Amino acid sequence: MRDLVVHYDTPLGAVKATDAVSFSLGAGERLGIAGESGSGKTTMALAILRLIRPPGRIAAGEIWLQDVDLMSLSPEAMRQVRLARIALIPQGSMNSLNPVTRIKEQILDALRDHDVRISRRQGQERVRELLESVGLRPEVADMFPHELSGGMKQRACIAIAISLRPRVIIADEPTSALDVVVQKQVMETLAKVQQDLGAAVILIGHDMGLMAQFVDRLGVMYAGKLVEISPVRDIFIGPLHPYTRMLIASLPSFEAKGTFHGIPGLLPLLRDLPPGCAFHPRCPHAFDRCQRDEPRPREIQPGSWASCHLL
Amino acid sequence: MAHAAWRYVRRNLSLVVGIVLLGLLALFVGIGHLVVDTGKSRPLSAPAIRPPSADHPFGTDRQGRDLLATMVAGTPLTLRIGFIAGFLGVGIGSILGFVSAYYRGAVDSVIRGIVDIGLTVPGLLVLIIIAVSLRKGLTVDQMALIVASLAWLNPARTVRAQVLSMRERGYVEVARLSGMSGPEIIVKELMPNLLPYLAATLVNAVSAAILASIGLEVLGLGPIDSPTLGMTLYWVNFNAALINGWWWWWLAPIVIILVVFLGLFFLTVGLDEIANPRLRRAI
Amino acid sequence: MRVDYLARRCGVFVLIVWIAATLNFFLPRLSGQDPVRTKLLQQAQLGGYVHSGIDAMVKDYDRRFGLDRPLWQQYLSYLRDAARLDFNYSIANYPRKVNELIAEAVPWTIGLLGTTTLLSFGLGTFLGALLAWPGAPRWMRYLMPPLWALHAIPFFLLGLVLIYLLAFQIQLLPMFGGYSAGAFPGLNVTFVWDVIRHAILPAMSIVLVATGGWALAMRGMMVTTQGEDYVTFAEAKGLRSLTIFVRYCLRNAILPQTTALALALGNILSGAVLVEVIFGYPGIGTVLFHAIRENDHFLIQGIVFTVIVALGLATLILDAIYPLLDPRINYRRT
Repeated sequence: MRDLVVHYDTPLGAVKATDAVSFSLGAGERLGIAGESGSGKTTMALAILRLIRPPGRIAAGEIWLQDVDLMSLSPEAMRQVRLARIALIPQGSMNSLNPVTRIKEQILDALRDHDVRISRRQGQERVRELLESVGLRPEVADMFPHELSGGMKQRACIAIAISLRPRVIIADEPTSALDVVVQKQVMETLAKVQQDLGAAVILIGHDMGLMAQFVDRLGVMYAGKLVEISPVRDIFIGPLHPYTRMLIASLPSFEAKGTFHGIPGLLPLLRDLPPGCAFHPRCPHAFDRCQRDEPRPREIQPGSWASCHLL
Repeated sequence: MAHAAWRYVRRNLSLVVGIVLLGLLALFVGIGHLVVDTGKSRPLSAPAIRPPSADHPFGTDRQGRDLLATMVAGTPLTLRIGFIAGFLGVGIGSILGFVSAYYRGAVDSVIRGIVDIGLTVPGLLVLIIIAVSLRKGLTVDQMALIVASLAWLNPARTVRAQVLSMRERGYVEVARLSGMSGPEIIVKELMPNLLPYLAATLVNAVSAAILASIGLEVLGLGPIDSPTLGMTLYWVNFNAALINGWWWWWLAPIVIILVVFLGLFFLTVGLDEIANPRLRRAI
Repeated sequence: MRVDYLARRCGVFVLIVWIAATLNFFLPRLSGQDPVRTKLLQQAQLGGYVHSGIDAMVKDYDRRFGLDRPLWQQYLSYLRDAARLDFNYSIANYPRKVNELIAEAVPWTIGLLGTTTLLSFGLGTFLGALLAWPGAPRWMRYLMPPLWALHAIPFFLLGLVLIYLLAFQIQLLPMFGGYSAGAFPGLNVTFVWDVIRHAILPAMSIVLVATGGWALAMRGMMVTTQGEDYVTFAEAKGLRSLTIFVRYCLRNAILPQTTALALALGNILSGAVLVEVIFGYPGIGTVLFHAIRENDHFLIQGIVFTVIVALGLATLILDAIYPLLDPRINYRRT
């Protein structure tokens, strides 16, 4: 992704949901994107699949999948790319499945619309395989979404996402609405299918603990900008950007006891961003340059990028 | 200022159209009362069956009523039935709907049962039975009461649904937790959010009430001596004005009824837009 | 589960029927006296023109509903009759029984109402869905305002206008009635064509107005559905837009649309009654109209009861079909 800019048109002017976000993803790599609600993570995910709908629009940027710029594809070509090469595991699987169709139908219709020619029996076999690979019983195929628990629905979504063996899987907050035990199950399922496929995963969320356990590299978003991106160990051992530092410091752990600090202040309104660095009102180390110039991403250490004047 | 107003007009065209239509009607009635002698709306005030002329701009009907006077006198009567029945209906309905949703339990089951069944039964027929049974010369106000007896059902259902969804949104809980008393919650939290819906429901109820009253009148169950719009149509039908080609007789009431319903309709749509911001279109 | 739901709906139906009968019984007696008996006596006193059967009717009436009998007995007696669909004789049309008159009129009403409701619902829903499709042709947008405006007015108003324009001025279609006077009923082409010609205007009044309403409602449902999460996921799955439109949007939007149909039946019927009156169409509406004019209480009661029961039945049928469309119903306990 290179310099992605997504605008939302409101009566008060265009709001930048993401601003010049850039990163690259290696084959089979696990990348995490963390940030508070409203930081632009989901927008970015939808943008990769060109699913941004009015009043939003992709104002600028390129998204390269191997050697193809997705922005340049025709709508029909893009449609073919979805699921077959880049798959989405949606947020809030509470309502991501069609309530009036059976699970097996929802797996098969994707295959059908991607011109996969298989017979009825082969289709049923395929469905059974997929369900098994995510740990669901074969009976689930004939059920309706409302008959499944939250964790089961999420795994059904995973099954759909891997049905065409994509190269990239984008998991948008896959465990947000689930309790901890189920979270673990789902994440394990995700790890397993990723290994089987050798696909790259972009895991989007706000749970830093979850990120630490799963991803290879971690990116942090704030107010629509990617403020830091580094290998995950480096981020936790020595976070570069103040925001990242405060995020990690606010995590509870078994060892450290005592009072925990949140990050004071609130997220700025995207249409009313402060000048210079967007984080400076809440940053304890802000100095005068932070109010004037917007920091650009720079490679501070090999493989670690951050946008901060302090570095 | 003017620019903002114009922008709002473009966004909520319906509301404006509705107000304009109803405003025109109000003007017609208002100026009409000043200019026209409403006494001429009684039978035998004028020669029968005259097409529109300088003397009688809307013509006259078979019983010698001047039709312009009839329209001027009759429109407010019809509207009055609608308003009385509509307000009564919404008043009673809101209270019942509110009680039902707020207190839940047995009270809710009973009220909801009555409303559900009441709405399945075609209202006009029940009104017919009532009207037929009370045949002894209906007045305009009595008609309003009869229509009101069924008009509360829909508002009750709407208000109940609204209050239920507001309850689920948790700010009732929050308010109670922060120590507000019952009535305080009702007035400060629930009312402001209910008002737009109430307004829309009210306009709907008035429209439905007018329709019901016109329906009863066309069937001959209305106040026989009143020059209301529905009764005029009854006489139109009774005297086969259509076949006889006395077009002026039925044109006026139809146009006025059209303006009434269209005006109320656009008003409803406009109010809906205010009540439900999700329907707003981006400009 | 499924049986639960059906049983409850049947129970509601029986309740409606009982309420209809009870209303019919008690409302006329609200004013203190019994208007039916008053009317019968009036007729009896008129002597002369009135048929001799009136005296027999009064006697029979007194026997069943007489003032010497306690109210609850009268009520039970009435319920028993109603259950057998026996509404006594028509006061104005003696010796014809109320059932006969209703039975004659019902086919006309069902024909008119049935076809127009199905037509307007089908057409309206289809149009509404199309209007919500991004790929819809431009000119369709211009259909909306007239449809909108039309659906706000009562059916019979449009009927009056249509009569004037198409039957009086242009004389294209007949002005009223179900068939031409002097025509011989029978299953031959001439008669059937005659019936159709007479039905066109009443049908048009209803269809032109109702279609707009259904179209608007469906479009609204579709727009709401299109905003749902499962549609976003469907797009992310790379489904064709037609697939998404039909299986994800339409299929879900049709549910509240069907509910709306069940709820609207009462209103549609009321509107249709007035249309029949305006057109003199020989259905329930006209019969009711004459009954009101002649104060024929038995006939009025019979009609109102029949209509309420019929509507209850129609609603019951729709309710029974609904779970076939929405698989969630089986498991929900309201």
